[in-house]
Amino acid sequence: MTSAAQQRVYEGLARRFYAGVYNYLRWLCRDADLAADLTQQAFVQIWRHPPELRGEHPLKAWVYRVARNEYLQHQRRAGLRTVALDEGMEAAGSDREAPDPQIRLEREELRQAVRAGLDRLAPAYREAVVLHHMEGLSFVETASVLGIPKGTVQSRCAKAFALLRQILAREVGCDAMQPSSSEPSR
Amino acid sequence: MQCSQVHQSLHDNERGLPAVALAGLRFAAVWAHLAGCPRCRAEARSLRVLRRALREAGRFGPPPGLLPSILGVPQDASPVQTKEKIRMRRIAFASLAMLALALAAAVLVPRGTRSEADSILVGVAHAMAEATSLHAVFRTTEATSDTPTGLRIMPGRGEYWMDGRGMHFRYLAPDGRLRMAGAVDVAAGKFWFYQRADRTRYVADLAPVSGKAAEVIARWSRMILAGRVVDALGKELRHAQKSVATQTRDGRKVAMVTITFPYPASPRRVRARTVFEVEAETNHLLRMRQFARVAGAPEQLIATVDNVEYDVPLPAGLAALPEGTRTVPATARIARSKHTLSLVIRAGGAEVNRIDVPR
Repeated sequence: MTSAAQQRVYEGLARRFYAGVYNYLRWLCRDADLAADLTQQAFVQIWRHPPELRGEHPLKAWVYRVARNEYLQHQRRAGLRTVALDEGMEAAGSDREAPDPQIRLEREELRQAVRAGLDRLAPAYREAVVLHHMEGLSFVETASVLGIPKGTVQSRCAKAFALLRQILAREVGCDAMQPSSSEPSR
Repeated sequence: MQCSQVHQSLHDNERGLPAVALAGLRFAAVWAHLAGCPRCRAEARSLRVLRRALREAGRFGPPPGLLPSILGVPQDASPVQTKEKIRMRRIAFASLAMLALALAAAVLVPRGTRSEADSILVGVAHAMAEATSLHAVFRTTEATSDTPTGLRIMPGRGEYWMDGRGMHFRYLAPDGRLRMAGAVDVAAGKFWFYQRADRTRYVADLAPVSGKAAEVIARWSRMILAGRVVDALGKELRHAQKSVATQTRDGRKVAMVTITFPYPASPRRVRARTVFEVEAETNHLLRMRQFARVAGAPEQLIATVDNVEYDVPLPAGLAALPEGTRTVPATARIARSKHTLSLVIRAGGAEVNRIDVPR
């Protein structure tokens, strides 16, 4: 691949994935500054070691795996230090779309509840949920990133969802979040 | 089909949309079940709401300066550099401004006939040398390593303050977050720096390092205030082209000295142009802009030093650090390579940062 072509591929990857990688790392390390640094370091790796586009290595999963490796390396260097989530939460659905104060308030409540709910999950569950449900990786891709079987990803997502629904139903009072276990099974 | 099987299908559904993801007979069976089972319909609706809530409310938006930094990686990251080296060289941001000012001093040693440009810049150096302190704000506008000094820079802004005994600096990301800060106290033989990635302030005692580290720092400080940096940049500046223009600004006469020179040793054969704006009456430097041009590409502004103030006390806040910053003792030593002189900082048995300057 020529240098110009490599640069085009890199730029495409950067534009497509940087926001998702940042979000993923932000949830992993729970620090906005560190997430930005790790995102940049991940893309340094992506530039230096461009992806080999083979079927068994889906591109999206590979990008997130590079990001995860950067995080793990940082953890090994720095020890396990985490800080509270305190800033930078932004919704993909902007409040500009909701001029009604009531709707904005409800969205803000939901946002806070989702954040609190995810924050209470065990890291392994949270990571699976972020990759699969926020970043849109398939179960197979998520399993590839995490290095675990697909069934384990499915199990973690299901357990995480059950916990999240309980938290959100309790904190937001959203009926739609209520699990339906009280009804008889057919 | 049983409720448990339907629930499993809904949970395993990749996109949370049964009509898309559940194919063929399985879809038909699930659909038929949902049509007659309010409990499973509620389950499907609940999952849909939660998935949407996660997608829409749970995401963290990236900071504004992140994409430009990432897109600048190909220019910054040469294949031979390691990630650690890149990270460590970030501290060189602050040095960039210092070295940029040093360019002014570098042309001071007259070689042969002194030109008008030389005379003006000699005046600038004398004014600096006579000042008790200097405070300057700098901005870097491009993520590039195509600088005359070969230093890697990123978009951002910062400021520094120095007197004859040492200096303070801070460097901020485009969104205003503190990336790095530090201070050198030559008289006390102390050096500290803060880096955002660690949220740590490293404090090093320069004195035990055979005096070499302190010597280098002192030399940097002196070369700004006394104007002696020809050893670093003199070769290139022999080939510099200099020109002078004058203009009147707010009733003051301002000399614009432009120095253009090639840097054969720079990573991509950069041709640099530095414009000094000097107040004629006081010989005070008002502003300095540094441009770089790689062969075949348009010239770009890479750094600006402005708001230069003389004889001002250390600005409040220049040494301030975020709450929660921890302090860790470190050691400093000088490392030399063929092209680089480095101040290496170590803490806890590992190298935590390094300041590189070209030899």
